[in-house]
Amino acid sequence: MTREDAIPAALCGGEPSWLATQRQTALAAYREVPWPASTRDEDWRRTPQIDKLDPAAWAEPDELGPGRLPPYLAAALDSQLRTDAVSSLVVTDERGNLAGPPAPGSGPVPVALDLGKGLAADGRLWEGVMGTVAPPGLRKWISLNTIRARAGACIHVGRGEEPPGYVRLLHGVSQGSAAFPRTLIKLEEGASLTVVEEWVSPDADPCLLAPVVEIDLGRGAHLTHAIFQRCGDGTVVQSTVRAQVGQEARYDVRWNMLGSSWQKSYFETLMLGPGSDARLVGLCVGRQRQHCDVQTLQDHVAPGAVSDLLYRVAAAERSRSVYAGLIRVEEGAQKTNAYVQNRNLLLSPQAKTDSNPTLEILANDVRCTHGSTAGRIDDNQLFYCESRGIEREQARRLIIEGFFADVVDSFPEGALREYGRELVLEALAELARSGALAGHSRAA
Amino acid sequence: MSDWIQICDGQAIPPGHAARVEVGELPIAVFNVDGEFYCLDDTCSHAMASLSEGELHPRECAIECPLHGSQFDLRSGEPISLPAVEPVRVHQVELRGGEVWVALSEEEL
Amino acid sequence: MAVAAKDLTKDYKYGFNDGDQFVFRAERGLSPEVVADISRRKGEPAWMLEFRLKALEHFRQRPMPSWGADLSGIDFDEIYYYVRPAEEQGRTWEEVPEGIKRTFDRLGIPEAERKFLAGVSAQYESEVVYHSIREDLEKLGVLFSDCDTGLREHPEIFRKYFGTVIPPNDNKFAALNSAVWSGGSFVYVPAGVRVDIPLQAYFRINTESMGQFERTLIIAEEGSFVHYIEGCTAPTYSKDSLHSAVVEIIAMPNAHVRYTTIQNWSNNVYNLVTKRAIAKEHSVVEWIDGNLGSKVTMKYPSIYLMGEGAHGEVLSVAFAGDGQHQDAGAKVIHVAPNTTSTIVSKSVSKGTGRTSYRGHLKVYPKAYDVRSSVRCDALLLDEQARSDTYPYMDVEAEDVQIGHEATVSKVGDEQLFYLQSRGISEQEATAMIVNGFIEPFVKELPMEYALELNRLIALQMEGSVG
Repeated sequence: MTREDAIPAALCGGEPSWLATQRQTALAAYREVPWPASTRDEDWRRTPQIDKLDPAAWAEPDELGPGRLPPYLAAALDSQLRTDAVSSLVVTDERGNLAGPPAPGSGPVPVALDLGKGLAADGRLWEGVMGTVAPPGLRKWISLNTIRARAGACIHVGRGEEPPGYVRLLHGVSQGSAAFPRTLIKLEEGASLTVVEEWVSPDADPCLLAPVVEIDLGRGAHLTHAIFQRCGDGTVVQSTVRAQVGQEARYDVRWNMLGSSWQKSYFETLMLGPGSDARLVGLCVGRQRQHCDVQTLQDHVAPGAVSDLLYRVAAAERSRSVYAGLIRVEEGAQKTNAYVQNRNLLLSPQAKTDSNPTLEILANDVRCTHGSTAGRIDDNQLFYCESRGIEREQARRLIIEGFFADVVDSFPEGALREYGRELVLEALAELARSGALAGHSRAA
Repeated sequence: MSDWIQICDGQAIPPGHAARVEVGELPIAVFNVDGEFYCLDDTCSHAMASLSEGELHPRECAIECPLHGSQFDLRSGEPISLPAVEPVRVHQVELRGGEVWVALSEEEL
Repeated sequence: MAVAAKDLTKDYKYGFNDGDQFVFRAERGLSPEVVADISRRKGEPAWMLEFRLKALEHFRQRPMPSWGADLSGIDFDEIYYYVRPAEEQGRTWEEVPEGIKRTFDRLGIPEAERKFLAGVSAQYESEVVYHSIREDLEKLGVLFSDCDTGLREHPEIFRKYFGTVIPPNDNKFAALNSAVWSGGSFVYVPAGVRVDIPLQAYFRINTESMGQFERTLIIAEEGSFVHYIEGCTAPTYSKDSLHSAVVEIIAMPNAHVRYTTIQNWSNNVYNLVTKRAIAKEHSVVEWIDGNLGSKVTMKYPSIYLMGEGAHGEVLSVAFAGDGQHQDAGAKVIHVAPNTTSTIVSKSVSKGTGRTSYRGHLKVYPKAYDVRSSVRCDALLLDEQARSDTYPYMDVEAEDVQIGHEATVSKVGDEQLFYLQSRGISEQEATAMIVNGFIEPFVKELPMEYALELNRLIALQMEGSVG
């Protein structure tokens, strides 16, 4: 693929004709829109890495189809999340859906199916979701995913059903390739489910992971969605997670950005049903020269909806965080309550954080607020710890842990919360090992 | 200071002219002000603009960025007027036997 | 390697003769001839002509901004850039809308001022007031005149600072102003001098008052203090549909400059202003900015905190009624360490009005020990009203405390109910609440302005203002 053109992929084992058509439509959109440019596109103004990114550089995988699990994926599978609570497991990489081990807690009918199998089982259902929640014309990365997707998952929960445990998705990429997993999630009226996604790749591998997740929540449905991005330091991540939230439905999404070379991730919630509710919570730990760009949207179309976002960032060494979040309240969306909080902790003189929360409010009977702060570790807190015999570096770690506490604790207690905490502690330990938490004297 | 690199023939940049040269991934600008050569990073410190396309002010020994008009002193790289507030890096430049040679500054961007 | 060198020397003379023959041009539209004519008519030195011509070229090349308010209604070719023919001076008193006349009554505007504000008379007859103030200022060594006079009588000071805060190609409208500027104030306060009375634009004589392309330059030397006020709360009629002003302020170490603007232009005006201040060591710069009128205003007062210990403050109020778009905000750039800033923005949208706050807070890497707080609140009074908030916080230093908060809401039902249950009508109650909402701004105004503003808000709530 190039910046102007791409060759549509096809799912191993076949795909419905409507998907092939969608790929063609997406291809037309892809060809029409120019490659993003940081000097021209407001979305990309603070992420100039896009100017040098060349799709032609990614390698085609050696073979396609469900081959052996590469070591880095096998290792990821063998993590703390390998519990009895996993009801379905889907594993993908640049070659397609892979055959993973059976999920410990799976029942007779898996909740999640490989993309190809899901589309074959219930094409009509998925035709109404794919390309509808995330239209290819919306942005170039979505059209590219539509054109090149070789793998993904279809997750469908029927009316009133509440499958226990959680669905686990593991998306990987390696060998300098590009992977475009596509996940479709539909919860019918009153359904409830937890989905945990992990994005992984090996270090020093110049690959690309560009997942797109489309979510459709029916009336009163409830989806809890956790994403752990732990990609290697050579990987570029471009993602879109977009959810349509129906009447009185609830969408809880948590993202944890801990790896990659640089990334741009969109989290978008469309409050389509009255009384709908979206809680978006995320964290990012930046190190070395990482660049993490997160863009969120809370679009209130229906009245009486609530959306609440909290995004905490700790930027160490020479990393940079960019956050842009839009709360948009359309005409007639009265009785809206929408909030955004972005908190940035700077851990070194060379770290940078950019924050751009915005509001566009076209209804008047609303309550919308946003807040953003940036600063270093509070001296008083440091002094408090040190005066109790905790040495400086350990004190800084404790304070940063405290900084992320409400994000980590936003998971209900259990394996997921523990997993989230583990990953944050690991990231902080990494920082400590490379001397990033030593503290230093003020810049001269 | 890093190694000296040969850039071009001195005649290629007459007085009152400037050239943009890419040394690896780094674009630099070489200016000729009444026979004296100066060399700065080509990218303005304020926004993505090319200083080699700006306007030369020989009397002040300054280059004016074409985008928002900030002037930079060619000798020190310091901004003389807003909106730029950070200096651009200065690279050593010499004329050796009629050829322009440049040694890139080792200062980190 | 082979290089392609570019010729960077530019010549702006456009081949004019240097003779002093010039042709009176009262036509519309913009061209190098019109600009040269303006310069010659004012008897300006060559460097100013070159400055204008260069700015004109940049104006022509620069595209319109791709963000901000809708400026498609501006027709650059229909504008008189300098002199309009005598018969186009203004309108008759009979033509002034009833609503405006009623407002003048209710606000208690003196007779003489009414004709001036309504566009019926071109000159403000303020000779008597002006003269005595002028004498006081002269004794202090303060220079206060219009910019044309400033350039003519104090060329060294003028040239040293003019265009250094806002270069002509800073943005398209700064370029336009730089090409055709006329009028505006020139203020120079010597070191250590405190000017106790606020300087007001009305005090200048022999100018085209409230010109379209005013250029103001304020220099406050070390340790000085000055408060400058422009505009007024009363609705001000302007036949010109485009106002593009530039204000440059330089606050030397330990100086304190406060610049208050209250703008209430008639609703045919596009008001596009570039205002910027440089604050040196331990100086203080305050922008007190009130936007009440105009069809569209785009204005983002900014402060560059260049010297250690400097402090910047922007306090702004925007009121958008039917069909109005106030696109305002603030920019504070922390370049030096140990600097602080506060931004408070209050906006009110009524009917189909739209207010937008656009802010930029940037902290450069060498600016350690920086504290900044930004607070934007918007009140939406009616269903059709709209409010936007677009702040940017770019932080590149670690040792900082930066906070930003914004809220958008309507008048609280409980508050309204409480006031109404005490016999206050809904309109009066809303007016009280709105006045309370903008109180942080009002309390910084000189008393007469504060009173006028409160009364004006009350009128707006009644919907009786034309």
